[in-house]
Amino acid sequence: MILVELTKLFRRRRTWVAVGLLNLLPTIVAVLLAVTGIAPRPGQGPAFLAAVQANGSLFAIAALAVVLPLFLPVAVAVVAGESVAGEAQSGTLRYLLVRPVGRTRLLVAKLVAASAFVLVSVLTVVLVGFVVGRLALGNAPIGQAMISVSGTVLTPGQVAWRTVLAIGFVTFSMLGVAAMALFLSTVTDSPQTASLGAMALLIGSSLLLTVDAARPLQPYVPTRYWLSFVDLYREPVLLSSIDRGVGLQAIYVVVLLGAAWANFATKDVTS
Amino acid sequence: MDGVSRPWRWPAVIGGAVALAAVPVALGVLPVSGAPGSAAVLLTRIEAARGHAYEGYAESTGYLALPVSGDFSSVTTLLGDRTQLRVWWADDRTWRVDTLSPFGEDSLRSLPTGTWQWDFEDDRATVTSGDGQQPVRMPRAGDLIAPQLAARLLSQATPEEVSPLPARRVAGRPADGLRLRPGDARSSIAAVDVWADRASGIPVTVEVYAAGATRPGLSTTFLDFNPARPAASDLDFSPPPGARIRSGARPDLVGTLQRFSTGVPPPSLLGYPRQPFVPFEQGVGIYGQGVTQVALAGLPERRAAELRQQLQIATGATKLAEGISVTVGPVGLLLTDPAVTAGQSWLVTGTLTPAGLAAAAHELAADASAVQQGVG
Repeated sequence: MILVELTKLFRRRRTWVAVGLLNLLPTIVAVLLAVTGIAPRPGQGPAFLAAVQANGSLFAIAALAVVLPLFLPVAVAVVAGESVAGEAQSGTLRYLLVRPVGRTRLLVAKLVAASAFVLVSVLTVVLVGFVVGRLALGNAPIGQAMISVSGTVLTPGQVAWRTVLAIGFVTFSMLGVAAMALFLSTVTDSPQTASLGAMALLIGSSLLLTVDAARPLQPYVPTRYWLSFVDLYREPVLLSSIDRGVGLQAIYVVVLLGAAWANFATKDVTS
Repeated sequence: MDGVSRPWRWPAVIGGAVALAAVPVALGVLPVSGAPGSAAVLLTRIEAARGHAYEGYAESTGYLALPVSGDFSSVTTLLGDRTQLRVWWADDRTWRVDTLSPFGEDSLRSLPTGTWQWDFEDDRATVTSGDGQQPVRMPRAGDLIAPQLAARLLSQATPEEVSPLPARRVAGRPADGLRLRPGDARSSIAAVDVWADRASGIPVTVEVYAAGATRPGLSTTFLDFNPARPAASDLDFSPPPGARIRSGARPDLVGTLQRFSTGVPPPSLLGYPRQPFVPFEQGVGIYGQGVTQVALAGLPERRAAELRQQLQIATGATKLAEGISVTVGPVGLLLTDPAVTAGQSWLVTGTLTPAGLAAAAHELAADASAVQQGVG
């Protein structure tokens, strides 16, 4: 069942169009940086973008920071929002469930497929960012040490394991959006509605982070710790926000998937 | 098709969600063992712990929207925003304080070899001789760490002014609390709540309340805390290869005024003697201690005009005969009219009540008038 869903997802042209569009923005940013040579002013651009002129390899991390606030979660919301509602809209959900397939199993398979999309998206952003950065920006030797956010020298090995952790953290952070979209996908037969609902959560959460009056709520909004992956490049590594971010996302994922399961398992499927 | 006849699933999910949401609330209200002890004893413990080593991750939150920008924007940000800090404190001369942002960090390290400032986004390391303990300077993020803020605010506290607060858990550790209600009627600070780590006596949370306020105007607390001496490797600094290195920090507004302002602050203000600073005696004066602190700055007319414009359009600005004043929570700002203070615009700022600010302005005007009459 899981294999079927994975195959279906990655055979769809629109999945790869989404991945391609996701990589387009950081590529444009890299090209603009290379052509103009104008790096963002301190504090004005995504993390590490000011440093990529000297070392293009860092663009792999900068690309993550470029897509993380909006483009990546939008892509995840679109794909996860289509999981169940897309089947309902096209009239295939009823036939899927006629087979000896439990609803819970189907939901798990949809969740795994959405998670796989998240992981593939994050990995491609990092890989494309690395390649584009090497080609378009500073071409320092690959083995060159990187300067940590704290001003210490990180060896290539240290950069590698920190980047693996950053990929894991960003991927896990996106699962909250995926779970929300999946839940809404079980509520409505319209994939667009499910995706827009998940995006509304994302936009509302980001907005609350900018409102002073909402400060007591801010530790609990889903986007609060997303950019904390930068803490992995401090010296020593700061795990406080990473820990809190993982814990918060885990709660959102458990609750929203629970809601998706409760709704889908008791729902009258008519289409 | 499984599950259509299992209506218990929704109650189970809702119950689970409520239980998960209740966990942080329950942890927050979980009573900390031990009855509140004597506040005077806790005050003594806090004083004894001053300068002890610790390390941690802290967050300060200011709710004070100061209506000033430009030269004062760093203070506006500190008092009106959330600041995330990492601190490694070996002793008062050897420490590191990092101000974190999603884009990078600004690290300040006081070391026996000098003071290093590292700005990641600017790719710049600045080294200055000395230990970073300038006698007078603009406020910086490190001043908001609970042990530093508590040391400043409790410096004149007496046992009669403090009362115990219920213990709470800070950074997962039990902490005992006290409330300072200052006896100085001119102070705009109504109360200072301090919680100190039970094991070490080091302050871990400070909340500052203005008169009549129900919530703190400024609060700072550790989210992670360890009362242990930090490793030398966390304190040391060598500029990374390729970084720009500057020797000698640019003077901040206070440093500039001390060098170039022609105004000489009076030897006392509101009965508080001016704190002695060498080698500069002009430009800036600091008066008072503890919860009542006043800074007096003689601004050049261009800077004063800019500030005056900002204060004039600020909500709650009060026009006085001697100038214009604004009070935001426990912070008061008053800019004198140079026509009544002998051609010098004085900025009076600090933790003074509006009446205290007006009295200070009146005193400055009277001093100027006396000097002019003496000259005449």
